[in-house]
Amino acid sequence: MTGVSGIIFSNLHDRNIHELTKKRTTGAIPFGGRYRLIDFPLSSMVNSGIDDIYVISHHNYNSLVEHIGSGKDWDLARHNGGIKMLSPYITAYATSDSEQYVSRLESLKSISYSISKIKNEYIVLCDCNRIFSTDLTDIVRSHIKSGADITLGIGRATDSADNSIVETDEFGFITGIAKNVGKTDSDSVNLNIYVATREHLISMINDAMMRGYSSFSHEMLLRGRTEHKDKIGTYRFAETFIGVSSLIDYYNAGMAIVEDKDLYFSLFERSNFSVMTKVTNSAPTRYTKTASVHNSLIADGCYIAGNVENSIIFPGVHIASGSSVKNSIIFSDTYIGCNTCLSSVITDKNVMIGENVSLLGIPTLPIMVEEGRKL
Amino acid sequence: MIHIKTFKKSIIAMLLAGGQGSRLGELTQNTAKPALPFGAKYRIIDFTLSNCVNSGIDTVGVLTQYQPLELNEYIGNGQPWDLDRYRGGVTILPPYQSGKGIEWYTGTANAIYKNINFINRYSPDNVMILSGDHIYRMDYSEMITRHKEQNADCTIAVIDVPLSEASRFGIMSVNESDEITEFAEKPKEPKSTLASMGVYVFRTEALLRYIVSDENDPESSKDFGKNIIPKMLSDGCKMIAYKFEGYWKDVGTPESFWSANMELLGEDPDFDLFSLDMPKILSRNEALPPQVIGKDSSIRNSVITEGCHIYGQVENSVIFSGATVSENACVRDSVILFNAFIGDGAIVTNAIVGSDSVIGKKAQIGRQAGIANELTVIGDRKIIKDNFTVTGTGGNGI
Repeated sequence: MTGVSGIIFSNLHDRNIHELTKKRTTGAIPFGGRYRLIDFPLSSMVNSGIDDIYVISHHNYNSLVEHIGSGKDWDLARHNGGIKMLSPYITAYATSDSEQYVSRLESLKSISYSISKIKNEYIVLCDCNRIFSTDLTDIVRSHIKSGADITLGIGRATDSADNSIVETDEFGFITGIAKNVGKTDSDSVNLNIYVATREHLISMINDAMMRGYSSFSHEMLLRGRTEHKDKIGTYRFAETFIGVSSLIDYYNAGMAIVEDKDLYFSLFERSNFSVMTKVTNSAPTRYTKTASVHNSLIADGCYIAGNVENSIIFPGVHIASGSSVKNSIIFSDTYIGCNTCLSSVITDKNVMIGENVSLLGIPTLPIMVEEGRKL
Repeated sequence: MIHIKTFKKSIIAMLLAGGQGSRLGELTQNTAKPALPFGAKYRIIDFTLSNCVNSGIDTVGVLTQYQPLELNEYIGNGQPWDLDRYRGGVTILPPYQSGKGIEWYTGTANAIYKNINFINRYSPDNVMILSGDHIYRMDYSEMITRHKEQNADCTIAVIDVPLSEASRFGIMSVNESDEITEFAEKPKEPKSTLASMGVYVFRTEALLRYIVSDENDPESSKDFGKNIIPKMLSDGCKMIAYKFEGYWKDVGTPESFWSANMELLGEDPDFDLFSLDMPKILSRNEALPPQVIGKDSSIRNSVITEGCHIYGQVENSVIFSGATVSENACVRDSVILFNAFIGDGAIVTNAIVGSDSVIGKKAQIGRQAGIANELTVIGDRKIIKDNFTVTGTGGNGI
């Protein structure tokens, strides 16, 4: 689809998974054996023909910048359009420590100049805290057709309990947005995917600045609705979005793609709708005579001599003979020594676990081993 | 006067990639040998291209001729090897029509002769002549440094081969300071075991002089090994042998293609693709999803890569990206190329299954109990029906 630009917020949700965002943005959280969370919104945009994309980050963006590079792995290294990392918006509107983590609206305010320079008429906004592979052209079409001032993507999300629920009238226009309290299974979760024209987005931001608003949905959208009679449309996505609002959500999401093959295929093996990511040029993975692997996702560049079951193994992982890895998520370049036993463990990058170690978590309380730790 | 921009480079590489590899039979039916898959995710040309960039050579001319479509598409703009450059980078050099007529590359020397203009654009001090047919990891920069230190006209990389195989290669005799004293192309009775690897560094001036004079010699077969090197040697040019120690393979037949892939297996493989101490081999690959390993699968002593789906048994095998081994299927001592599909309950033993081929349910491919140990080759895009048995096709394949 031409005439559409994308904006991706890379770290609005960092606090939710602080265990994995000490040194990275939410967008740079590894997922699924070789991906980062930003790959999902980014690939969906590219697969939908959106090739002018802006990524907003706030802090800790080193690994994100390294991951995106020139954007060539998404075919986004372009003269016209392509991907642009917008400089961080850290201090402009932060008045005290507690406000340093600025909101969606404040980040948009800080890039309003860049937005005004966008040539395309429509803008799609996306976050990085949910895993999906979906066609975004339909929400844009729906936005154009409905005549709404801004359209909000809604649908089912596995983390619906922690999110806001959108209330609509019979025509799909928003009447309210409420925090989900106890209603764990709603099909109208605010997915934080928005579509608006560039002009309308800028005028909304300017108006919000003028009035000193700080919240995108509760002030800018809802007050805009009552004060300016803004029409806020909705578009309902058919697929379930996999939310990662906490470490346990993250762990469950990983286990879900290992166990649920239909889910796996719907995310990663849709024809002409692949999830793109950085090409790493790792060597293939080698399995030795003592290897035993069942029901797992294994990336390249690994050496596997032990047992692996129901797990996700990222590139460059070494699993020595006699060791056992079950129900675990092992990030890049982790070393697991002989006769070591891991169950329900998440290891961050470059973890080194020696011989004869037992780390036994339980699925409802996985053990998290921080980046670079040696056990 | 037309202004032609030149970018001075101290060294450029000319990569000969027109090889047909006719003895590879079915495997090179539709593609040039350098585009042949190897090692689960690579093409043979990846090794030479990666060696170039990992040795600091950023200008590479790739000379193509036989079945170039796949190779051209694969190399593209050179982006996977960081060879998409304004100054230098990779350039595909096919045969072309000129004022003198229309002619194919008639030999390796003739191919370089026809691209003298390309060389001159970069006015390099030295030119590397490489072959895209070989599997090896080598840092050319050491060899280039030696070549410059010795002030040689030509330096040839050599590797020690078993005496029994020496007559397959260009064999060199050297004196105590590694100067080449004798050269024989595929000698019946080899005097030494130092074989040319097809890796040359030439002083540009010497290369051009000999290429031009060879072109004007009607008796010449326009070949580096047969003509240029012997001529330079007899003229007393300074020619140095650079001894290379490490894995180097020229896969000429389906059997050697198969065994080279098998040499990646084991605890301490003959060809260590996996060493983290050496720079990575770069290849054009889309970022495919990780390998999906099923509940009842069993994988032993194998090399498998991204985009594969393994639900059955895999043993002593190399599985290329996008390939599927279905439930109850069993793949043993085999090489399964890109996107091949092994159906439910099929048994593949001692075989090569070509890219995009489909092996039907319960089909039996390759060696059976009690039958001679011959390799079975299934070509690209072949469909073997359910319950069919194919065995011992040899190199011709089906």
